[in-house]
Amino acid sequence: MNKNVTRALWAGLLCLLALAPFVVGTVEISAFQKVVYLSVAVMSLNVLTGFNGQASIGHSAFMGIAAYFTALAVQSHGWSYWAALPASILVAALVGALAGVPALRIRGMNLALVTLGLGMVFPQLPIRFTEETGGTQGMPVDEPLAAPAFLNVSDVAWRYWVLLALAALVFWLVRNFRASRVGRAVIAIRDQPIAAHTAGVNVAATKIAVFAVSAGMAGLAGWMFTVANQFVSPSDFTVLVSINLLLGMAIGGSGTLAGPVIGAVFLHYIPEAVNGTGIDPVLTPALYGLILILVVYFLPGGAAGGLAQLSARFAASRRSPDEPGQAPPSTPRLTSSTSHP
Amino acid sequence: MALFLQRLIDGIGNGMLYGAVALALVLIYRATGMVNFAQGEMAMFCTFITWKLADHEFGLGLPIVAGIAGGVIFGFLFGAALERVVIRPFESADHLRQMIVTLGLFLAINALAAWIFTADTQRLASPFPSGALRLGGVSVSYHQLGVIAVLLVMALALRELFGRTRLGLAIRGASMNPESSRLLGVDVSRMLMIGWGLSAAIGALAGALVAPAVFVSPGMMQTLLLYGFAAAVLGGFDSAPGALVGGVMVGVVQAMVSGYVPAVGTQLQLATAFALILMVLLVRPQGLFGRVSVERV
Repeated sequence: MNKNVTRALWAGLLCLLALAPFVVGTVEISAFQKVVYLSVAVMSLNVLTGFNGQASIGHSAFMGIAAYFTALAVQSHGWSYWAALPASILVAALVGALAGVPALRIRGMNLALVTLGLGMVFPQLPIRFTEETGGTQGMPVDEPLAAPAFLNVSDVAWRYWVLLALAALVFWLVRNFRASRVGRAVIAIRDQPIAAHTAGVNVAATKIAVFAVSAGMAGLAGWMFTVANQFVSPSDFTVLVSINLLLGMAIGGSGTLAGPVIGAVFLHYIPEAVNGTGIDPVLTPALYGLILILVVYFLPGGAAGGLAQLSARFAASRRSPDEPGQAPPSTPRLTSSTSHP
Repeated sequence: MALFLQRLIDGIGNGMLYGAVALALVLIYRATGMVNFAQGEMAMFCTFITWKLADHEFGLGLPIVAGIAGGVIFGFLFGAALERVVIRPFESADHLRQMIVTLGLFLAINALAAWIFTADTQRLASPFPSGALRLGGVSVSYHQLGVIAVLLVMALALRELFGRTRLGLAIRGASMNPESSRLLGVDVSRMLMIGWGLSAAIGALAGALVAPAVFVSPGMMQTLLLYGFAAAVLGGFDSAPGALVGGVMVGVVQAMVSGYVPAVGTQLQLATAFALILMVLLVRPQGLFGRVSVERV
């Protein structure tokens, strides 16, 4: 797609979303908030897996760490949400860097095992410290993120704008990052780790850094979670949440910018749509699993990759046949077929 | 001292079960190079079959031993069918896609079990007599003894299968060197299917043996899976004896840490599995019995 068209589309989408509180009610805005933090969470995984080719089944834990950090800081220690924002991101990034260290020595699936462990152990932590966190009952946060008085807008709208602005900032940063020198190195590590190493990329340091950044982004999603829901509980951050994030990434299109948004919309609205059709909601995860397998088989580029392919084909068909058109952009892939013997 | 011995024995009893799950994981890993995240859910589904066959109230009310046999046979067919239908298209895919596919299976099997059977927790009887053997201050339940005996017999039978039979040799050949095996007339795809079937059957047995303690529910195998992973990593992901030894070690470490470290207690037992995985991967990534893999560039 034309660069300017793409840019205009993104800007238009952002404007539309920003105007939403004037048009729709509180219930819809709450749903939009959820989509916004889910898209940041899926994007965090996308940076790790889609760009860098590292697997994680533990991003729910990074979200949970930051969400609980924020809840505890605001509720029990009198912090403001704004003070908790950088701190919670930093904590999540730090844990992410530590979890990423084994990635250096490890090929293939072992990082997935470490992150699986992290994802499974995390929900046990609040239960272990029930006195501070409320255990399985969860923990409400009484103070909302209030709108500044001079703006004269409702708190819900203000929270939504804050989340939207932060998400837009994240997407803009990721977009620039992908085009940067370091971003190219990150992608090179996914596709050709040995060639990247030969070309002077510090593979080890880059991998850890990407893991930390990704965990920090998941932490931002966790902060957003607490802001939006004013409630945290262990069941909000189970391994199933991590698997759902993977699903969102695969469906939207890994390694793309639009993919996480599509994935987040899918994750929030499909369960409702499924309920509408009269299928037993117990079966929703089974449907997810089926879709996940089918997408990986038939549409490895996800929805965004499929769209890019379509538009490339459309553009190619409009060019006259003897004009040497530029090669169609390669479809983003889930990952490359390298690094295993 | 008695308490220590008690914990040791409890740890060994649990550890054998972890070892069985690890063995199932290792079988699939050796056969297809895949880490099967759906292993626990497959075992859970088979345990529900066992429950359905054996339960007097909701099921057929067969003797529990017949129920377990039915669950294990179902497990074999289930595993083989999954390999044929779901896994085979991804046999040559990269690790990440394989991981996502087995996670998809995880979601699907878990939800299907809750839908077909029940999301509630159910009881399953032990095939062994209740009561315990008392030796000094230590008590060993007949169930624990039975579990250890059954799994040891299973391990020996597998050893015979892979070491002494044509079929076992063909399965090993198919996973170690598919090209040469094919040239020698081995149906490699069928061998991989049998490998998945065997692995699921072992999982079914482990599920039926752990069920009297943890009950039958869609989530019953999830923590067990992590312990199984810890055992497989500790033993070396490509070593079958290593899986069992690793399992026992994980069980003992878990029992000791949760018994003697108050900060861990009962809620954070799972963290010992996580810590073990992390430590082994950092210090000795190939595990205790695994081969060091050399990457050719």
